[in-house]
Amino acid sequence: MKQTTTSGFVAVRRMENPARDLEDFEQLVGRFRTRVLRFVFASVRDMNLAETLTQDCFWKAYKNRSGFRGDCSVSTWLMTIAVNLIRDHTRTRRFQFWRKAHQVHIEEIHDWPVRSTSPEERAAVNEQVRAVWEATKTLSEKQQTVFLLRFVEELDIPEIAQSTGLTENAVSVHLFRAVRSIRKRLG
Amino acid sequence: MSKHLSPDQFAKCLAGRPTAAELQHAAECAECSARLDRFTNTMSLFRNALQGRIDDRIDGRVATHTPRLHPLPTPPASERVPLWRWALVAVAAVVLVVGPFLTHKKEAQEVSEKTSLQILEAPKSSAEALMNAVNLHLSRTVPEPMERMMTVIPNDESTNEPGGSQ
Repeated sequence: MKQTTTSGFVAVRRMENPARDLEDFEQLVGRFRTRVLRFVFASVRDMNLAETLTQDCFWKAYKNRSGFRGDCSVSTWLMTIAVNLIRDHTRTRRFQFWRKAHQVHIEEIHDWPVRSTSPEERAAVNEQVRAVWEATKTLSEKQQTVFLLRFVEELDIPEIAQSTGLTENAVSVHLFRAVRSIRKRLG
Repeated sequence: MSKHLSPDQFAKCLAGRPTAAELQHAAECAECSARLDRFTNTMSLFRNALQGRIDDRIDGRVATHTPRLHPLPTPPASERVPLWRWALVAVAAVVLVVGPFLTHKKEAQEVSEKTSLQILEAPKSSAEALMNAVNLHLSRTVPEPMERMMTVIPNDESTNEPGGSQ
């Protein structure tokens, strides 16, 4: 049995022992679930939908676990699956214009759970977070994906390129435009 | 380079593609460095706020005993569509495709039957009229064009005597 170690997580190329396979996968879910959920929620802006897509992400990862070659980190691999799921959902939603997409609007998140000492500081931080939340909504699909992967998930350019299927040059261009747009809106 | 980084130069620095000169200026200029830090700090706050929201959601689910993510994820909804729904869709598709053909065939059959009836009835009446006309013609003693002349010729003259009437 060939083993490859990436990012401290032992990714087994061919798992012959189902019990061990399950145990390892449970560890993977426990370690990366909140991270994937955070990225998906920031992308689709709907918590219920984000949980559904996160579930789908780990379902696909479980189905295709034997195909993981270890040429990227596990987190990058999961982000790739998540990015594709979000893209598929967005395209599907475009054709379902008669359905009202239940999105979490800025009005519903008027109070972000920020860790601040004083009410004034909490209000100021809340205002900043709301501004970023509003500003990212105006980005294009690719700009938003690249921006969130860079500044929320803290992936570097090569990892973002792997996750999105874009070239590093394209990632830089989208990131540049996203940052310029966000900075302009934040003032 | 001007005194401070332009908005585009800022974006390039934050996007990870600054030139050497821009990188040097960002390191040396206190104001530009502060502005870059302010942006990255704002992004950190945003990330933490998102994480806080996720944690609240997960904690809320644990508190209400909502089932957590199963280690063996269940198939997505798209893979759990009942079979009977697919059967219903297939039947509807067949009806939509075949229905118009059946309707057209029935109408064509009705039209054909109607036309056949008309064809069967029509010759009977015209055949009778034809036979009547033939009988009338055969029953004439003199040709039709001479019928008007016969009115001026007396009926008792013998046409058998040699020389005819004199």
